[in-house]
Amino acid sequence: MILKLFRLTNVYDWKVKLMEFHFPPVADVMKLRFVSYIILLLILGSCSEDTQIQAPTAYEFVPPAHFGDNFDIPSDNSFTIQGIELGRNLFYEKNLSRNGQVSCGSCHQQSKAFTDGSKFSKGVDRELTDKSSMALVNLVWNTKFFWDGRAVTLEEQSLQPIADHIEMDLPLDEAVERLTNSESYKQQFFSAFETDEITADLIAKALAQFMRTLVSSNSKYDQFLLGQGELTEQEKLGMNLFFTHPEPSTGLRGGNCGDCHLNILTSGDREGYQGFHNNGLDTENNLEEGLMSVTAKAEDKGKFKAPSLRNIALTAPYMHDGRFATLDEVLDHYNEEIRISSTLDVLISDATNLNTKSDEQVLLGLTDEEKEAIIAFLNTLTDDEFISNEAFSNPFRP
Amino acid sequence: MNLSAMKHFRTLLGLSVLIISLICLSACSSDDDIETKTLTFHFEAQALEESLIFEAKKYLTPSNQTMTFERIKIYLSNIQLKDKNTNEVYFELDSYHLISFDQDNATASFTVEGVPAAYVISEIGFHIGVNSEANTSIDHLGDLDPTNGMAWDWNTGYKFLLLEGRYFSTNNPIGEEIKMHIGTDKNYFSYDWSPDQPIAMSQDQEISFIVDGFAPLGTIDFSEGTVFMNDERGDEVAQNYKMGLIQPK
Repeated sequence: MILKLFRLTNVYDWKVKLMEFHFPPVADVMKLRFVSYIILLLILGSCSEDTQIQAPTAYEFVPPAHFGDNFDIPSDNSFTIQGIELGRNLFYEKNLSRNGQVSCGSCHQQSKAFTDGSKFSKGVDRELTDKSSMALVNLVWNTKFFWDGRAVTLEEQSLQPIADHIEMDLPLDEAVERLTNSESYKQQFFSAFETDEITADLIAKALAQFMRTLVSSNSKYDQFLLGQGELTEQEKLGMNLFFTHPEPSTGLRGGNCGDCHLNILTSGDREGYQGFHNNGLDTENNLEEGLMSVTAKAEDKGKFKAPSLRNIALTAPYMHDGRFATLDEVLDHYNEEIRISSTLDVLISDATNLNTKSDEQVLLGLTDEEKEAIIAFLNTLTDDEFISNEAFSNPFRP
Repeated sequence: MNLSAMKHFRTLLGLSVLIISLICLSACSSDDDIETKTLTFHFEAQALEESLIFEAKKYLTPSNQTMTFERIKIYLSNIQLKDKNTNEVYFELDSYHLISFDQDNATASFTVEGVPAAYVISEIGFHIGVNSEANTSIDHLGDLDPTNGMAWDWNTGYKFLLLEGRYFSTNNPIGEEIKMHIGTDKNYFSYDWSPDQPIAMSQDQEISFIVDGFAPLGTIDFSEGTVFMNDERGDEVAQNYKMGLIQPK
């Protein structure tokens, strides 16, 4: 009957047929409705097919107001919900290692603020790397990556561990091939980047998008800054010492930490390589190359990235080579074990709470009580919400 | 009053409220419609009356010591523009500007918006540094941002002047880092300048200043140390640059 009605092509026909039209019995009306519903469903079905090929959904990145907006998101890799989700899956994807045993998440575990608790990280064959795993936190405010600063974007950074022979040891073309052979990943790349062709560049983009979402901004320190919580007297003393360069002539006592671990983010300077320092770990003869391997400048020998200290209580052991097991050892180092060399940071060699200075020895001169206070403050940088945020967790965990 | 009359009364009342509101609003908007222009401030870093060359060039200081400059950053704030005719002063809102110079940036500039076009500016005032209230706040007004390398922390505040470079003593070819990080309330300086010719704001205008990289040096002796912060030597640097850091071009 519907087909009949649809065949009425001109007004005359329509009128004639209408005159001939007898209202159908109730059963026919029901049939008519049923057929209408089917057509409606078909139309709706075709709509939902449309949504599958829609452009990726933009993700609105809202930085914590007190962190400032001094960050850059590459114009060719803006956040999308699908890109972040894909990046999270890739971050925890063990098939991105040669033997399928290791993912990014193996050395960057959420419960340890994306470190692994080891002095040196282990790669595919349980072989040791020569660096301690770096915490991944508030990376969007960073401009240089790796301990020696050899990557200037997260996109550039993200592929290196995959291809590195000790870490994941998977040639990038094979990584692309493995993902291309997965229907699920093909679909995810299509949703995120609207292309059938998976490339190393797109793997990097997705990983970078996910890593940029790893923001930690709800520590006790943040709550204090926002007027939503209090610090103890000891923590406040530690905070003030942390951020103060000592000046014995005026009686100003300082822990001298904030000269390199800057301001609220407690991370290194963003500009150029100013966030890299020789912090007195080794004598002249034992200095590692560090930043010099990137810049080829003699004055950069022995300099490494000053990492963010957000969640520092969770990221032991410390330093680029994990040489200090505890924060007490770190404070002892800065207080009385600085090794002098030609590139030792001047803000370290200059800093003392003592009234006398010596060319042979750099002594910060903090009391035990002051060291404990700084450690108490460092503990306020732990953000439980960050390490339990489902959005950052392993999606493949059963 | 019957029901119909009440209705009319209410309608009239409503209309008059509407009309009065409209008049008020239009009065307000006519205030906003004052014609305004922009005044752009240009700065060039100089040393010895020439463009300062960062990193690549070694300079001899007044104390005959060899140094290079790596970067200079200065907070300017509280821009005030005085109109010659009315003596009225225009205050820029959230007036905090960071001017930065390094190897890639020999010049810096910023633009003050909303200057009344009727102004003929006879006096320009600003401060080197950040006022006490903003200095210890975590709000980000203007160019204030704790992640731009100028903040010590929210409690201690911002560096007002940062000058960094290297000092080369006879036996040190690599050189030692020079760090001048000057801040705190006592080093918050005001600066006033009257242009030779008043600046008519009937059109967008520009003014140029030089930033003298040598001004902070004075006669300081780097062999006694190369870090200048919250101590007497830091204050000496501040006194050195207080008058001569920024000069009309």
